[in-house]
Amino acid sequence: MRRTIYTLLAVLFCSGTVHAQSWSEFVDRTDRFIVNFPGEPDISEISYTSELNAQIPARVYSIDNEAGRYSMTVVDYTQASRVHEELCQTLSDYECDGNEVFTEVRGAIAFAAWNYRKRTEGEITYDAYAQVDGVPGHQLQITNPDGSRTFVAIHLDARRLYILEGTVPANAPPPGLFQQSLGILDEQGRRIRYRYDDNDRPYRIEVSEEWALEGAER
Amino acid sequence: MEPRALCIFVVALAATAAPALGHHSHANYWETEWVDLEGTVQAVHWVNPHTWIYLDVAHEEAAKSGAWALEGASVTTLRRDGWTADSIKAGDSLTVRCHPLKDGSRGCLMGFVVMNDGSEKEFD
Repeated sequence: MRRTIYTLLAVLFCSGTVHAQSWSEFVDRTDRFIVNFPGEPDISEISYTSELNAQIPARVYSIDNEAGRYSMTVVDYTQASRVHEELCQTLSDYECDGNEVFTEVRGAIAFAAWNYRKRTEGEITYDAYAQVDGVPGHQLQITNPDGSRTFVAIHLDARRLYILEGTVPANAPPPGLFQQSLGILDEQGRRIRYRYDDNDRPYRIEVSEEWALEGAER
Repeated sequence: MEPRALCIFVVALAATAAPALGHHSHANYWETEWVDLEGTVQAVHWVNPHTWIYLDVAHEEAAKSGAWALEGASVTTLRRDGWTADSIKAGDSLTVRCHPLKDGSRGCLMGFVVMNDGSEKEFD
């Protein structure tokens, strides 16, 4: 309900979105993100198979319409400790060295990107580091055999992995609008933005929350 | 203003005037290259964190002909620069200068809009 209210408020405040083919800002405080969708996404719960073959709880927000196919998968690695403890207790041949969660979380972006490289039948035309609001991540851009294009963004913050995937038909404008729209929120729903000191250690800066409803500095 | 007050003001200003960090990295664009595009506006997406113009372009190079996605600044930044949601509308003829995507697809980072008098106005 709260999710719906925020979407409606975003549409009301950003009047342009109403007559701009219904792209609007979608806010989810449970999974702590804001992203642009061309309509109200469907939400489903899945298990995400991690690099160490654990089943991590995840939610998929998706929409498939004439504008293309768009999905946001949020993998909840905050559950990784519990999942691995259960694996260690129940599987006799599962070797637990105490580093499982560290390995899973620190490698989550690389693993997700590797999965795209493995399964694509298209040509990867871009494959590089990316950041959004200082939150580290990775982008892949793929031209599929049918000419459609898939743009991917993968980011990790607070043990939540965000995987954005947008695919548009051949000859449609590439789906940067979706790929580049992620914002990450904290537990209070305030937008997160990091900067980095001279030793590349992140520190958080204050950012107006108004972006969720009105706008923000680029 | 008293020297002490001036000093406090300058220090406070310096402390709050850190350079703006972009919402996201622009590494997927060739930021040292420019492309000139002319076409008809298909749609304007007046949304945050970035506005987008979809532009139908007929270009002598086949790879550049078709619908382009032009990434602009945030709604807030554009409003500050005098743009409104209706400044550019579907059906308008538009000429822009922007940074192309590295992957060769029809995406571009604004950039400037060429106005009717030939001058350029930032859309970034």
